[in-house]
Amino acid sequence: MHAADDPTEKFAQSIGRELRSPVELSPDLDDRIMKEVRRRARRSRMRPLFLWGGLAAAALMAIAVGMTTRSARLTVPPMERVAFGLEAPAATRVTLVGDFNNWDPDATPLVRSEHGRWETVVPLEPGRYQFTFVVDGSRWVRDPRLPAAVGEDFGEPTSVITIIPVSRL
Amino acid sequence: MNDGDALLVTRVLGGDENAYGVLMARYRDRFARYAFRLLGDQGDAEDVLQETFIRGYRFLSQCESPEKFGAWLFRILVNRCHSAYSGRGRKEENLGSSTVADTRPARGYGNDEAWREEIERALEYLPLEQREAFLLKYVEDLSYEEMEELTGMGISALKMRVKRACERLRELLGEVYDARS
Repeated sequence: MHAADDPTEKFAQSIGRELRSPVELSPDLDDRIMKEVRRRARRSRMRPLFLWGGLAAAALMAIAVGMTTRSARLTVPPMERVAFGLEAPAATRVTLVGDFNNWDPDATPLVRSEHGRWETVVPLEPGRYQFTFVVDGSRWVRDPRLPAAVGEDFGEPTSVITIIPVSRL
Repeated sequence: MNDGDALLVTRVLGGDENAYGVLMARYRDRFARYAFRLLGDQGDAEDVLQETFIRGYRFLSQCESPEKFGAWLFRILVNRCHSAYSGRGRKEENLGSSTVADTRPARGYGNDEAWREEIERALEYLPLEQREAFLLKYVEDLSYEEMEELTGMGISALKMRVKRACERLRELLGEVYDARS
């Protein structure tokens, strides 16, 4: 039977058409989103200013104390290699999702090691990140060793990790 | 592919955040429809939509193919819908096995709006993965290959989910559908 003549297919197509009707949204939703986008844009424009301002101040200070400007160092956050791991002996696939990989379930697969432990190492800038593990493609399991994320845009199964530069430890 | 999207993405990355407003206007209705049909709640759908567009802006430099911006952002939306669903404790799983006819409104289904509401209610009886597969196939009109790329699930598993979703919807809505046809 051709798909177009299949009653189940015709039924599904008909339901699909009904569900294509537009949905109503709050009238201020666009404004709320764009306000946040502009806030982030302003913040990212200011960041280089702080950086150059800091460099200029450091250079002036170096001159003032009779040092060469070569000794004025620009501080850039170093990437830290962060190890993630999960005990999941029965799992066939474990991946890592979080703020650092846009919650893409395919971006960061873990490798199975001995005794059913899954591991990976991710280079991250110092900062605070939310993340969780995706087990067998669908089950979200948070890292029980770290604090659970609360009150942000996720529910229970995510953890929070704060990366501090090794140089500051 | 949409060349217009690529140009707008370049403008946004160059510091023109108003160009992002144009991109948002292109996709908001379609994305809102998907989120609302999947989550069944306007507040949740708006939250997910807001998170999606803000994350899209924040990670725009990671969009490797700007001409496929829409597909890239849709993937973020699908992931955010999963997060929202997980976060609210899977309350849908407790709906049980009653049929939509149990709650049939007195005004009947002759009215298109009432019929659509019944379809939306029936959707809520499907497990998330079946609902998602049905919406991607019959509302978003994606091919199984596109669905595979988007969800990371194999084509045979997706076909099974769509089949089960159709069967369940037919079970819930078939009587009324037949009467309307």
